[in-house]
Amino acid sequence: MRRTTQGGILVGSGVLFVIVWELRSALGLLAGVDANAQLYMLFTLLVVGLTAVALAIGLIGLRPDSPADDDAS
Amino acid sequence: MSEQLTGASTFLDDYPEEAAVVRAALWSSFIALALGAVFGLIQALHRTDILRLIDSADYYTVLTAHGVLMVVSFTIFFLVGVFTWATVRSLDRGVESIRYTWTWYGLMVTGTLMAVVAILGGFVPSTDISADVLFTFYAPMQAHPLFYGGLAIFLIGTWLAGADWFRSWRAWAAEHPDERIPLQTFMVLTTMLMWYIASIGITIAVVGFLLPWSLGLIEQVNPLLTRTLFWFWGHPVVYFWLMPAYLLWYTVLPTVSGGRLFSDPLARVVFVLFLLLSTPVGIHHQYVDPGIAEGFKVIAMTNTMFLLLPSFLTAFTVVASVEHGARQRGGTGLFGWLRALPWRDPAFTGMMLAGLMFAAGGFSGMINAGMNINYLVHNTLWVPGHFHLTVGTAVALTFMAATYWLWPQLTNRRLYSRPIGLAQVVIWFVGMALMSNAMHVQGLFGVPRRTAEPQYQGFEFATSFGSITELNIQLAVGGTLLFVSTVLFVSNIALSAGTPKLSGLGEDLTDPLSTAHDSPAILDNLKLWFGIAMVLVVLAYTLPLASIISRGGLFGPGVDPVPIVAEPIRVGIQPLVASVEPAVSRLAAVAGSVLP
Repeated sequence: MRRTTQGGILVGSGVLFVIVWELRSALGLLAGVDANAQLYMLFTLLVVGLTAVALAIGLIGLRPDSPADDDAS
Repeated sequence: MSEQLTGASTFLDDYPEEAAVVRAALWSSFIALALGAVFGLIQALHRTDILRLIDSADYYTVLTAHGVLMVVSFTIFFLVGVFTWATVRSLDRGVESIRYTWTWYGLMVTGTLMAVVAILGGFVPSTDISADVLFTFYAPMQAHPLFYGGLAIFLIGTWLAGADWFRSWRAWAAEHPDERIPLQTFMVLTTMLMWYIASIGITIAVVGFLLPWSLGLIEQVNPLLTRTLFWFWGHPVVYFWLMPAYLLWYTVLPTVSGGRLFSDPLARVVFVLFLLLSTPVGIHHQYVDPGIAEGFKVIAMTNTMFLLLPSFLTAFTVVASVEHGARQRGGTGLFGWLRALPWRDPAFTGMMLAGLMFAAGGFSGMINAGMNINYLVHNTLWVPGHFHLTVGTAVALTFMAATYWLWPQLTNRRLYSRPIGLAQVVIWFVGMALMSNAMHVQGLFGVPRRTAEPQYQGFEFATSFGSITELNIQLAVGGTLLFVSTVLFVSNIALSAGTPKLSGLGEDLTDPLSTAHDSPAILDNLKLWFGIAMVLVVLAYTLPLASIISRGGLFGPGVDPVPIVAEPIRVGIQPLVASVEPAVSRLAAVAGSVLP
């Protein structure tokens, strides 16, 4: 079974970015929390960047079981 | 990244003439997409006041070009290409006459060119040709006759295209009398039946009123009537864009994910429901129109909510099919199977991200459709935020992603770059999330749509968090990413022409887990569903149209701008009663003379 791949990291990073960034709108509209836009963007990029790096170096996520598992889709 | 050759013949190998038509239709679509993206970028940067390349007076020309090129040309050219491929592929027979096929394609191109020339004429002050009427081209805004003529010719082209697919099916059915309609062909035919019904409204609006008015043959029109006829077509056209995306989700996505469609019968039920329910809902676009009684709007709202059913069925079926694919690939666990999916394949990832965005678009659509809550967001930037999730992503991103799978089978050439394709679909997803989020939030703060100057000379919108300026920046960044994504897509496809020709690039679609034989044969009775759909349309529209005509006249001047809160039903049905009264009287007289 194929595990962590560069393609997966790219797609996952995109989705994670959208989720974390849009949480700001939810906080603002529903809870009235006025998070600073610049700081929140930095926070979002930090969360996404650290997650991507951690996945890439194998700190989190699952490594391929064998070279064949890392095959293209 | 490797790409396995299946050794199977491609669509181009089997049907070279039809493949040429499909390629031409898809290229027409991509050219419209590229032009529309340029206008979209100009528009996004202008209204956010980030970069102004045009005069605000030209904003509506840009807006019209963006709207028409994207939601008429890009989507429908792609649709006719994919439907031709799907019909020929699933029936396994070529079109009845390739000359006829090229004819409808030629008509669509001609119509598009006429409409685009009319729109772009707005940039040339020395000419009286212009069509700054936006995609929603109902009265009182008036375009040059070239625009309406172009639309009419384009529309005729789509009708003939539908007839082409019906001809193929009838010829196939004569040779296979006991077989069920192949799923892809079934989807094509039900979509076209819906389109024929929906087209009634826009045909009457354009040919009966707008074109003669534009030519000076009639002095005035009833704006509410043309508006209602527009939305008679204007909402089902949304499903005309969506149903080819559904066709791809149901038939291509399961294969790409390594699995099989969960249920063919469920897919047929979904397309029948769209045929039945797509048209009698258009009045939900007119909740703030004063000339339509509230009761008719409630009926439209109720019908619209029923439309959630096929969308939910689709969400279930498609996810179940993809999960099946993941488990076939070795995926395990409650959510662990997600990791086994081919996320590096741009075709798969693009369609999945499009589906994810469609879920969000569905929720914002429910708010639009809710009659009372609609008043909060009507004509605000929320609405473009919504339809950029649905047509702008669920449809557009699915079309682009599916192209990555389909294109090699139409050209016998590999895609220029799959990594660029993957980056392209992710950039689209992120760009659209940023832009659409900013639009939704600004809409909630009351920022209007359809204006070059939303700030209204320094008016400050009250925000519950952040500021309008930062939302504008977010919108502009999102719009720019979408433009970059479009450039990457079109370049990738264009550069694919330079890759070497190969054989064996064909990919067969897998059979469903539950086949058509598991469903009642009545699902394939197209006459029945068409008849019921027509009855629903008559029920939904007869009284509102009779009321609009009786109050405002067939050719105007229209109703007073006074809301109708509770119009007596008598007023609505009066014209109908008057028309049938003589016949009923005669019948009564005959009955009286016959009966003792």
